[in-house]
Amino acid sequence: MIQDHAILKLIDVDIVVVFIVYLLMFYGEMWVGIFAFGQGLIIDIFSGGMLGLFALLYLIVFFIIKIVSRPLDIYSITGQMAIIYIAVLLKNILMVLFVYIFSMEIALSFFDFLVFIFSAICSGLLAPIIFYLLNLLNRFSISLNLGI
Amino acid sequence: MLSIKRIKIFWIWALLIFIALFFISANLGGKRSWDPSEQLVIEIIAPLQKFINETINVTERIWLKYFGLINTHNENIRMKKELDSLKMENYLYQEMLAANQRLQQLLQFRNMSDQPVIAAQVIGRDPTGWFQSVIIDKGKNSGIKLNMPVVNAEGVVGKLVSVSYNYSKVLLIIDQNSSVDCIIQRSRDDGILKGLSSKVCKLDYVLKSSDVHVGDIVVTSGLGGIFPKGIPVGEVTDVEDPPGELFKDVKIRPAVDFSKLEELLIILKEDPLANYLTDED
Repeated sequence: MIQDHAILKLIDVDIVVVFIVYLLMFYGEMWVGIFAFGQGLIIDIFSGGMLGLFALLYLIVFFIIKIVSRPLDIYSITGQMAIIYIAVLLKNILMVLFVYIFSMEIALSFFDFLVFIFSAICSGLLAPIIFYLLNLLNRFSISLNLGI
Repeated sequence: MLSIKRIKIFWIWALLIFIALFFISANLGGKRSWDPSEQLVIEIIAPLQKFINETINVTERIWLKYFGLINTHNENIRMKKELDSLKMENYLYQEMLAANQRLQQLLQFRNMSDQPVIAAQVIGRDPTGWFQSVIIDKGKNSGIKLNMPVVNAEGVVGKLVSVSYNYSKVLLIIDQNSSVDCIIQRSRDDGILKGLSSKVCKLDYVLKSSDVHVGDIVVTSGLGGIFPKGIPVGEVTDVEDPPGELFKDVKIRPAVDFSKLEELLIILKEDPLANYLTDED
């Protein structure tokens, strides 16, 4: 599979975090928090891990995004990239913490930590492009609704 | 003074965190199958996942077919040489197979070909990248039950850990939470296979006195009641004898290429302990 090539593993975009930041810009934080929780729960159902693990993780990531978006401007491109970079990096670090707290047996190597950093960078760099595409989609659906 | 709205939001966050922690604590005891609500979510989302997976597969095939021709000529030559060598080996194995069949008749062993199997397709992988599991397109409607073994032509793939009506989740043997009772085919020494990564597993609890060498084939032992006996698991790639440790440190390369899982076979063999477990266990 494509994702098993080592170089492509480094280009891993955390799309859920990107969506959380995008939705936080336009919708109420309560609904975005519930969205983050729901996405985590769906991921838990499909993954081989414990139910509730990613639900809790993405909820914490949502709170991190809320805190980090205060000093940084969530509506500017650099602010968005920085927020997503910090959120994805902290999410991966938290996951390692959860692994040790809940005594899950997962082997980690130096390459995995490299993947964390690159995943955070890639998510941050690609986020403005994804936001632009989502904005286009939003405008298209609004124009459809208005009958333009 | 906090407004009512902020208090309401606070309690919603508290409730969500409580629910997540409740789910986690309920799962700490060990693996559990999907409950009815999770099965409903799977039945709704899995068809979309299947469509996306097939789209990715088609794109990948187009890429490999039209843009990956650079090394085709060299690979062709290499594979022809390998084919000739394998033909010679095959003649030898035919003889061994004939002898094996005679012995099995004498000892009245059942082999894997006597077990009914059902084919399934992989429609999705673990979305987190932290665990090793796949979703397949067969479920209870096809007669599938929890803990049934899953194999393919190369060897052991894993076992079913969650089953809904039309879909199931397979925990792969390369997952760190998986354990398979195995034996070394040559020396019959046993160990427990545990996953480390997609390319390497480890064989735990191999005694210091065991006769294990690099290149030895590892097969299922049949103990534990889940996997039938004699199914290839992998090949020993490294054996170390760390001083001060009770057991040898044995590394295994899995027989199955987990990066290319597409079609799987589920052996319709019920877990003998299943009757003693409830759905909540």
